[in-house]
Amino acid sequence: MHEMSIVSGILDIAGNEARAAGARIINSVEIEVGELAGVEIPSLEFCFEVARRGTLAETADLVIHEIPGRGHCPDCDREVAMEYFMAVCPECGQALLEILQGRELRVRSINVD
Amino acid sequence: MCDTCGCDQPPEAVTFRKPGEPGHHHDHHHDHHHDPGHTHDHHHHNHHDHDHSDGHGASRTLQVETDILQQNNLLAQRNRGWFEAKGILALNLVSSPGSGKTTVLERTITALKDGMNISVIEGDQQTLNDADRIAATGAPVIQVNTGKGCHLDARMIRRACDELAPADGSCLMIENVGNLVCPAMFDLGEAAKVVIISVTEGDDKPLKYPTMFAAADLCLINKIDLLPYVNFDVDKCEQAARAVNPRLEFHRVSATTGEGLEQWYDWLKNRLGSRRTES
Repeated sequence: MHEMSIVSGILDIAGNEARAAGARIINSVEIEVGELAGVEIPSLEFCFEVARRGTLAETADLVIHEIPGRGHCPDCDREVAMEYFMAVCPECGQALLEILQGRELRVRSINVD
Repeated sequence: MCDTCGCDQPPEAVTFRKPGEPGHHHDHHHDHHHDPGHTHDHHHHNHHDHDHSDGHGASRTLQVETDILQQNNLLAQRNRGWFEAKGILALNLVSSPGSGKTTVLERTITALKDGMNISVIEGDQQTLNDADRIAATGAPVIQVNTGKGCHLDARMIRRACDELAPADGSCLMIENVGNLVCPAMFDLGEAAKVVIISVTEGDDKPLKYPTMFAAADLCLINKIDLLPYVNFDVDKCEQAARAVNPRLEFHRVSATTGEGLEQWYDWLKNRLGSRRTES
């Protein structure tokens, strides 16, 4: 259940930013979660509901942008979708894919009053 | 809330104990009072909840663009630098519960006693049991009990190293909490992750839990003495793991009979040798 740790990290970052800006309440928190980041979205949402209590984000919405996994094959120079960690290019069956995106785990922005 | 240290729980829930020392050693230095800018929400109810009169209509969006694991990653890099400077080979041992991590360590410490200085950080949710087993081999050990936490994090390793004080040029084995999911996300500052799978598990486990196998450098396939009694295809398991991580090395071992462990010992000696040369 590392999602609770992730949510703690989100609330820390959001809370620090909000306080630094003199805000009194966080209306929403926008995050990016990559398909390959190893985070379960329903679990993350559940943890957020619980952990936001007693913080500036007590009533905040969690807006999740899911970033699809994408890889690049250095052999055939194609970009392919990566739903999980794949070693081999599904197009040419040769090269090791380089991960272009999908490991994101970031707080993008917060909306505050 | 702490940063990503595994706690939705009060900091005293994480404990650091050495076998033979009386009582609990609580982590009083943990987290909450150190980081500049890391403050709590205790004053929250004084100014929240009701009076929104002068706040409405002034909503602002603040761009943040911050990695959620940043705090842990920074601490892990600090650990990594500390290990490198001291020529310490730190390994993060990860597996499901019951795959034989502690038995591998017991056997390894005993076999390499004369040539290698090994100390151990044991991670479990509860009990001093594993640390007691390591202590019986004579190796320095500290037990981190994570309470409800499902993984070790970089800050716990920092605190554990302060207590354990591993020697320059030694090998530090970090036995993570038995869990193939969560520990993959949390960098501790180790030189390599060693994933252990036993033949009493499923040979498709690398496909079911790819993140951990993708992050590891070495895979020990343990309990091979039980192969005649179980339906486990070692080649198929290695193939599955290579599908997510083609760089992964494998050693087939039995920590009970000692079979195959020589190549694991050689791997350790090589890694420690090159670590000493670097520092």
